Amino acid sequence: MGNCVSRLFLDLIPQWPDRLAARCRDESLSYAELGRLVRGMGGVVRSLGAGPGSCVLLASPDSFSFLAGFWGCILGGAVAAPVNSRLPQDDYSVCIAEIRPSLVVAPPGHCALEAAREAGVAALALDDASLPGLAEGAAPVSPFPSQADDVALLLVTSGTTGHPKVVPHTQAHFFAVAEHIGNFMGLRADDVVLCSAKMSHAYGLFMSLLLPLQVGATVVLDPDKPSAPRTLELLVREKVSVLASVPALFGLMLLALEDTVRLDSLRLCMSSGEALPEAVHAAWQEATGLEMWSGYGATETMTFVIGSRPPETQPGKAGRAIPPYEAVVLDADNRPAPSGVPGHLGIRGPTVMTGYRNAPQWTRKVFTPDGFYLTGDMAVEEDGVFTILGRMDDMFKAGGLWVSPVRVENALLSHEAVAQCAVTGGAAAGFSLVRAHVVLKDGRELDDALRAKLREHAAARLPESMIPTDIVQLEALPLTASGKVKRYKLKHGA
Amino acid sequence: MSVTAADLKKVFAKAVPADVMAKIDPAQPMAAQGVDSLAITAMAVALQHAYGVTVTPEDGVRLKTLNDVAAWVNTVKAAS
Repeated sequence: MGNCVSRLFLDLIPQWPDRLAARCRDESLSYAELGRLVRGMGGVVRSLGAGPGSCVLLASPDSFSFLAGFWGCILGGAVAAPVNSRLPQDDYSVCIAEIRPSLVVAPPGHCALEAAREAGVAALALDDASLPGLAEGAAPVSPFPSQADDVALLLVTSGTTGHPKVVPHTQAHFFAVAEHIGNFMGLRADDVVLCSAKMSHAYGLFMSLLLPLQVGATVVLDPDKPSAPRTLELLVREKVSVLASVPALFGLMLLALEDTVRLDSLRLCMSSGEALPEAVHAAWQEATGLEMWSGYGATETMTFVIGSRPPETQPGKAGRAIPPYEAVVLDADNRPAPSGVPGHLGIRGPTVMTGYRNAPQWTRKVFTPDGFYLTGDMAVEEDGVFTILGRMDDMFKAGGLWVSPVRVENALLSHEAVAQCAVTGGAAAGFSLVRAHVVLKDGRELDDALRAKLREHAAARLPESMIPTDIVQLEALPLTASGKVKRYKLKHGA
Repeated sequence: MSVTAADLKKVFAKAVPADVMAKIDPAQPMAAQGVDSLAITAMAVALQHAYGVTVTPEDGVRLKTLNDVAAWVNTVKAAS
């Protein structure tokens, strides 16, 4: 089988050496140049002590450095562990303790480098300015002869409490995504691809780094937090033909779109990450003349496992299982539920993880005896089409990113005014949001000033996507007989 | 008394960062002037608290400018 970096990227370059592989901040990189940078970064990483069997934590934003650093690690036989580039330093310390990398890579001055130093782990400051010099100065590494079952990628995801779970994906998984999701998406050499989800997430990783580069297409990278005006500007300026994004950004782009702007170069729009509201689906189609594609997947499956393409896409529905993936709705005893009856969505297929890293207790909980991965999502199947109904646990998404309610609750509980707290998902104006239900100490009243203070308090302790937008006061939290907060009741009763 | 764009700027004071709000042209799309999805949800929540009005997903893709929102609030309040 060989190393996936060679087979899915480097070996193909002679077909299109001068085509543009990537664009970032008005800079261009040809396939030949990217190939040299990948080989060089493989050498750099190796020279810093990260070789076969060791792991590299990559906190770079979407950039040429990410592409070259990520593929370089895997080329040399190391495991790449990309993490969100916009986390607080404490989050990187937790990731370092959990993943135990031999090297941390991040831009100069980035707090992940400080976290690495504190943990006594080697750190490499890398950005697009220093990348060519570093890569050219290193002895290029020859591709490590990887085996199909060798772990190549670690993705970090979090549970209800916010403690990271580490999801390993193998060399074979890269080949399977390239083949099956490559077929599903049907990207072409003349495509210009922009995915608003970052490459530290599975969605951004296969959409920006894997699928375009195996067909000779161009990927457009945006190192900053996704914003509607800049994404629209990139769509026009870079003549983007394939846009992959999340419902919140599609909604915002509609709000920012001026009547005079024509998105003529677009041919394919993919929405994933959350259910797309029907209103956004319809308005986007009206604005662009394009019907939406939809995809459903999880960090644990690495890629889409359910999806739909026009003209089959139906608003609010995820679609059909993408061959060769199997999707099944299971009842409480893990038996297939009849069509039309809601149950727990299980997935089996070539890129499903074999288990969380070093966490057999979590792994046991998410697999059936038949080897179906239990997604934690409630779903219903009718005529082979799946609709996602919600979570089985208390996890939820806001703006396309997972929120761990317990983590937000702990942040708010550390404020002196808060006696009790429960956090749920909610929605306003069609956008998903984080809602905190608080019981205050000493008969205090929640006014606008305190609301703002609580938000600031939370903002200092949490990733931006977890900061509560709405804070409501309750006299008491609804509890079950065993004393657990009924978050379900808060979500639907408030 | 009808709600104006200036009233809304006060209602949204905690929802949108002050530097963004200060520069907003009420006749231009807010999402093109630095308002992100977090701010939009916070604005919808603020409208609920201030006027008891609910912004639906359909309204959410239609109300582009601060003037649009003011006119919509007045219509909804007049109808209730």
